[in-house]
Amino acid sequence: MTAPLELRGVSKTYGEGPAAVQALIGADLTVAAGEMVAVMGPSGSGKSTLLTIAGSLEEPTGGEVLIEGTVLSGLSRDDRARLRRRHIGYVFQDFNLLAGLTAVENITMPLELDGVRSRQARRQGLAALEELGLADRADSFPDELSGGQRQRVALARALVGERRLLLADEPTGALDSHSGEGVMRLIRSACHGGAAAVLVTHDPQLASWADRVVFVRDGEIVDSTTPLPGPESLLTPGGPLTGEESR
Amino acid sequence: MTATHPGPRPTTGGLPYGPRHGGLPARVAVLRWSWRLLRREWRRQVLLLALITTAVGAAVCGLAAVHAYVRTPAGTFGSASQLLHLGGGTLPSRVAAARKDLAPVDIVAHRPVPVPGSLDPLDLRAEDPHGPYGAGRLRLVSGRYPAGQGEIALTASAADLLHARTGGTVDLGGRRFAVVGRVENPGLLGDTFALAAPGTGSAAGTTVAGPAAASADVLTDASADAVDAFRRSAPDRAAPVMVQVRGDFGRAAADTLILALATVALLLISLVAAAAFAVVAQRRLRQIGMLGTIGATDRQLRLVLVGHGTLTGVLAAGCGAVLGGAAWLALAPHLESAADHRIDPLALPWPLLAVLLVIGVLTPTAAAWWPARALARIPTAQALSARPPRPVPARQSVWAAALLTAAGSGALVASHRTNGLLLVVGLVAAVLGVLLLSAPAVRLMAAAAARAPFTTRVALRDLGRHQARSGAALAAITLAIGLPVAISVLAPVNQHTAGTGNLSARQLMIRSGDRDPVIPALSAEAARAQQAAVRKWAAGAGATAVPLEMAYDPAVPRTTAQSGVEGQPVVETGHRTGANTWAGVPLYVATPAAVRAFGLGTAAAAAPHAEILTSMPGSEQLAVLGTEGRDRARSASPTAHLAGSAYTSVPRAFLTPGAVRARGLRTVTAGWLVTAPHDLTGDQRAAARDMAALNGLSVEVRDRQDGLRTVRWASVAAGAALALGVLAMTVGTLRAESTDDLRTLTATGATSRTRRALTAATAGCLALAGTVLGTLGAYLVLLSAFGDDLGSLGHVPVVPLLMAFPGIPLLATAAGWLSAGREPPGLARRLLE
Repeated sequence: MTAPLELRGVSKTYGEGPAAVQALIGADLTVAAGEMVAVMGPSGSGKSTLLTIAGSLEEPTGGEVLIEGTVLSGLSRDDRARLRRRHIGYVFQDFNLLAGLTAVENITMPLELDGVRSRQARRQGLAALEELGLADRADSFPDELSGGQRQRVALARALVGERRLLLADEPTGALDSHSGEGVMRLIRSACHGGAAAVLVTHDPQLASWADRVVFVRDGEIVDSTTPLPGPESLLTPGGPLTGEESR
Repeated sequence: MTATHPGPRPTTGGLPYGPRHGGLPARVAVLRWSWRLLRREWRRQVLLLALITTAVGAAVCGLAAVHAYVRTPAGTFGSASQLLHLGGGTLPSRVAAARKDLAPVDIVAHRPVPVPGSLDPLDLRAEDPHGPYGAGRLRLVSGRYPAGQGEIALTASAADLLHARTGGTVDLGGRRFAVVGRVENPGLLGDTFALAAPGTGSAAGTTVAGPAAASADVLTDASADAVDAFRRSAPDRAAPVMVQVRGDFGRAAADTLILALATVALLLISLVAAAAFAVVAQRRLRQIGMLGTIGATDRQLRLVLVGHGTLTGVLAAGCGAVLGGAAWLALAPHLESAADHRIDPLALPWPLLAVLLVIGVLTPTAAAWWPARALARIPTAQALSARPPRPVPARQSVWAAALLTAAGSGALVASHRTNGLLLVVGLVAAVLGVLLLSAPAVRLMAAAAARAPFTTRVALRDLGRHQARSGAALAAITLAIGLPVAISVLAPVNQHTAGTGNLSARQLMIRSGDRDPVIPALSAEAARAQQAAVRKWAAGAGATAVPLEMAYDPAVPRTTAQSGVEGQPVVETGHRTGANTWAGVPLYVATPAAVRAFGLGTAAAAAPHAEILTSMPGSEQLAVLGTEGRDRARSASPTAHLAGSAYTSVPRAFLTPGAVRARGLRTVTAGWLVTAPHDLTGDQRAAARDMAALNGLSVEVRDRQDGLRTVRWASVAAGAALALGVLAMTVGTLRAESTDDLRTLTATGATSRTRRALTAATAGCLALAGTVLGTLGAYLVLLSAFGDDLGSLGHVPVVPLLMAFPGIPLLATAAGWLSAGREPPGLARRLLE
């Protein structure tokens, strides 16, 4: 079965000459369907670059990115946009809902951009909101929703349609712990439904929800681990946050 | 929590994608979002919406007014295509022949009848009110049409003249008539006449209320060949057939001119709109990034802003159409007396109005396209972070600018203001050349910043960094300043010089008879009386009266003018407009007095063999018309061009004394140009009219030219408003893009005073550069166009120029100072990031 996401020796350099910065160096990463991978590392380590390259928002300077088996390097800007529309969903820390569109319209936007008629798209959007328990807020605008509700709408937008790859950048960073847990539960549930998820986070507790944690430092993937169930696993002797490396 | 996608998908390039750009549903979704954003941000769009709404509204009202104001041919032709004026002793046979050869026809018989107490006779005319072509030139206002020989209907002015009312009686031409109704010529309200019932049988068209008609108008739709054959078959050379072919009296040209002016105005506004949309694009950068992450293609991203432009255009054009329509409905009734014809408020040039509204929509759409294109090209990741793209260096070449400016100036010089093609080409090239100087000017300012104070230095370097944007803004400001400066300089040219074709407020023209090319046949005693009356009035007003002479061919017999006056047809000049038609203007004789009064000496000396001296365009095709040797005379005559406009208030075509002698013509005093040392007062003008009425003369004066003054001040105000609008938007955008610099400055201790100085310097420098370029550009264009008549530009419009310089830079600096100063939002947060 084709992996939803595969990075092969991906590098990214910003700037030229003496001002050049290597943000990512030879990164290899494969995320299988139904798998949740957390990416951790200090600020400036290249986590977000990895996510934007994986999501086709930026082009790598070297290596290959494959989404559902399709090599991105051969695609035009518009083809990559269509690929995002069909296969990739994003969730950001600050929700990134489109102002001026209601909750359901935000969810249906990727479908409508793909040519689905408004009425059909709305049906799907309402079904997604129903699953998230937000059916009664379908016609609310983003500024009428709480932070947790906004992030759930963003999550619904990221997963609506046939998308099988979810890329989340600190998805609970702006939420209280209760709302954050609710959002993580939904992402986990999406993975159980067959979606692959890549989660960039500083938060070990959040990473504990993942099947696998990848550590990035100075642009290189330096470690990858399968944490024990539960957040406390990261703090156990031999765990990645105790200072002892584990393989 | 996954939802399935409905239906099978077509595949593209191996990928199972949907339609390439999402088709109609995608466009609808994007436009819906654009509309919502426009609604949410309408307060920020008010200036732009108001600007486009006002422009479209003014254009709609202006187009309707100009279209309605221009005289319609219906007042003369009814619904016919040609009018033949018949006169002389063979009238009955000619009318009978016209009925036979040109059928169907409408015959309007005229008989001038004297009015007690008035020098001018009244036109008593017999016309079938239900004739095939007469509807547009005859309307029953009240009462009924006359039915018998003892009945007449009067126009309002005729009723006033005769002190008659419907139901009463009136004596005309020694007969008593019952007044049975009030009529009018709806196409020519100044047409004063008494309408009698048409004659019957052989009397139809040849008699008027019994006695024989003096002349008759034949309205017909016959072919030009048939009319020409009829004209040639005239047996009586003493009564030639005069033919008029229906034209639109310049209505189409006026409509086109207004549409062109409106288009130019909207194009100017599109420069402001482009700056406004650049601000919108900057504000929406993050949202556009979000749309990019969920899979919008470049075209869809572009559509967000282009759709915003279109929706703005639709909204503004709709509001403008309603506003302009309402203004026109209110204005229309008041325009009738000035236009001298009835106006149907709904008889508008609908296709042109539709074109205007489409332009109103297209203008902001086009203005949004470039910012939209730049917006769609920003990488999604960069857009998500709301970081503006790096400024793009402008690539305009100084050489291209210089070349265009030089070529434009050359073409303007060569045009002599009469060659339309050279004039347009020169104007466009010169304006483009000046506009292309904007980006180099910005570079020059940035380069000169090194020795400036800190805030000015930063402001100028920011302008230089963003030179593509600041260059475009400077071009818009240059144009906004240049146009009113040019109008302010040109307005006095039209106000004060008779030589360039206009009567000034100090002048008036007195003519013998009416404006027909027929000089009334006067006895020597009557002519002396006229001359004495004019000189007496002129002396009373402290003015000088220059006699104007016209020439006539003694071999051409006398004729009856359309006004009913019998006299001598004078020679004219003109050129062929059709197989049998000529467009002519009267020729005055270049007497020594006329040479002095109209400054003809230079042109006459430069072309000693010229027969005609004129400022009319197409001078090389002019011929002398109205002489006995018609065929020979209608070949083009040697012509010398005079500087000046083609306006017709004062003489603009002269026959040299040599040509008068060579052609065996004779001269007759046809009028006087009176020039007073000061503007003529209302009382003096009234006295001139009384004098003219008493002596069989007519007077033409210019109004006080408040219109020109209004145009001048309105253009200055509009230019200033436009320039300040562009400045506000540009400075806002530049400062928004430099917010991080501002944060850094604030964090390092810059006070609100520094921030104010920075914004004020940005606005002031841009305004100063725009004012200098605009003023210099305007003068360059004018000096090129008036190179052969620099004296016309001698009047410097001091107040408008002071308003532009230093008024606008100072105002911009003050506005920049007052509007800035607040601490940048999120100072600490952005710095920690």
